[in-house]
Amino acid sequence: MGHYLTLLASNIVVNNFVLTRFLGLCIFFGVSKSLNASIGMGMAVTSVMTLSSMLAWVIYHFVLMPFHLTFLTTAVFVLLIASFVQLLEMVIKKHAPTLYNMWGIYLLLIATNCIVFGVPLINVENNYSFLESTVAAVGAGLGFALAIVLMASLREKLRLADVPKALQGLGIAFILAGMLSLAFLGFSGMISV
Amino acid sequence: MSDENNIEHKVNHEKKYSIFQIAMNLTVTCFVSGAIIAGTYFITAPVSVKTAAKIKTDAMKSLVVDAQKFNPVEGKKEWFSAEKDGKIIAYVVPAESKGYGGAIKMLVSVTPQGKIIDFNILESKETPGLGDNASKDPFRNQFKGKVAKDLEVVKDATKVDNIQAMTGATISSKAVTKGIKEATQQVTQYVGGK
Amino acid sequence: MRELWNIFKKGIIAENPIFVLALSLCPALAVTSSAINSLTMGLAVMFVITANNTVVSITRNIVNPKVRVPVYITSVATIVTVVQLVLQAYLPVLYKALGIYLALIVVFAIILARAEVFASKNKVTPSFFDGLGMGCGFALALLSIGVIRELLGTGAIFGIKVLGSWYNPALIMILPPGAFILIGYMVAGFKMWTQHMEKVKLERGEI
Repeated sequence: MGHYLTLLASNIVVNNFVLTRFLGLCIFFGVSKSLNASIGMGMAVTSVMTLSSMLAWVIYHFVLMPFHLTFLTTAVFVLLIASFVQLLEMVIKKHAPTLYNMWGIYLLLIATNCIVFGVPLINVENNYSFLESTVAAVGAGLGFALAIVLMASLREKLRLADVPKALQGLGIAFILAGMLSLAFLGFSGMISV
Repeated sequence: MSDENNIEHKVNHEKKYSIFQIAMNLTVTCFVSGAIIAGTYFITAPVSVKTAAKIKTDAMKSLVVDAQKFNPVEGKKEWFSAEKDGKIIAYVVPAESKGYGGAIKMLVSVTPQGKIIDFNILESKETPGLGDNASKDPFRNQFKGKVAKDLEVVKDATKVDNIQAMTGATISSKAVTKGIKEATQQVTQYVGGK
Repeated sequence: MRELWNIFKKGIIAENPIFVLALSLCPALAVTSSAINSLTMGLAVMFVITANNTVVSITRNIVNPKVRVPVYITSVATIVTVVQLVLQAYLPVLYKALGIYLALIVVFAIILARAEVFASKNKVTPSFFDGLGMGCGFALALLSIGVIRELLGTGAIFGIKVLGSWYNPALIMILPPGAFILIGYMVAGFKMWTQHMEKVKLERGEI
């Protein structure tokens, strides 16, 4: 039990997927302009990441490994995840409209995104079991949600600040992310996995 | 009347044609892609294996400079014995311990008498500039020639027989020392048991 | 000829993938902690974009528009897998240094974007140069970030010590926060420079 909690906590803070591992940056900077959108995006990413990680693990361990096709991992994973997300979007749109209104619109943005694609790859690299992969994915998603919500809150405050013209927009957003990353650096060493 | 039928017929025919085309597109793409990947794999896989083996041998050679040949040790995973003139002059064993930022994987070369020759850090996530310096001198040099019971991390500069911790990286120092100590003890145990 | 040069040029400055379009930022931070890694990644991406643009352009009339996205993704995945396998066999140290970020090239928005926006609608030679230009811009951006980070963070460039021992390396440069902050300033700097160039051109009456 402790091992899984450690893994979860580690992925949320110590090895935060956005601020330490640099994944999911495009959507991080794109969506963090609005707090509401960020919450929705955070939920979407966590759900997609968990489900697609589980699916990817199954395919890897029951298809790719037994047949010695692991060199196809990259291609298979990306097509799998892209199609899965498309399918998920259609299903949610049809059967859970309230859920769709909350975060379904972000699904297509994350169909081919480095964070959703990166988590199953990291799970494979670390040779995680099914439960470990799932926990790791949930942690990664929550870490992303945490980072993007923090960033959005900061950026909304920033609208009232006097930012130099050249830094406006992407420039100051990066520097802000750097400060957040610095803060998260303080977590390193706290939890050793 | 017959006009309507005609148009319907045409639309159906067009729809069928494009579903077929879509299916063909996808199938052909998969086949071509699969063929290219498989082809590349068949050409590069043997080279990859050879390169990986060479890197391993080179790494071991740097740990036991005089060795002429390396043989895997039976019954021990990833252990190698370094041979010179028919005699075993060292054992090269993997070591692992929990560092500050994650697992530290090392390769240690030990004489059959239990003396450390050298070590290499294969993988580590320690802080660059602090714990990361474990793989460099002066920290690294301290281990040469010591035996397992000397391997204790101290901060007292006068105790030259033990291991001086790196400033600002006590955890990394302790982790590396622990890993090497365990590896050395395992070798002594193995040699003693033979 | 002039036109091909223009197509090539815009990927380097006016529409630089990292500093202007802000696409595919993940590798810009992840692999740029050393100049050699940046260079390898940059060259790999340049190869993939150019190759993919060429393939997409060649097949643009055969592929049914409804399935173009899966086909493009498969195409990029194939090219990236080939690059992975070749690097693993011939340059294993660099392969290990890039890690998963090499595989992540498949989902780079810039590659799919160029395929969709340009290569699927243009002939092979312009598409080739468009890919080459974008790839070059990307590689140059990555290389500049990598050189600065390695220089300030370790005092060396490509492993060769440049700054003497008087320089106490700013470790933060090779850690994540340093990367973010550096790129923030570089984006701003780039913006200031392009705006200045535009002003100059306006004054000269070229626009």
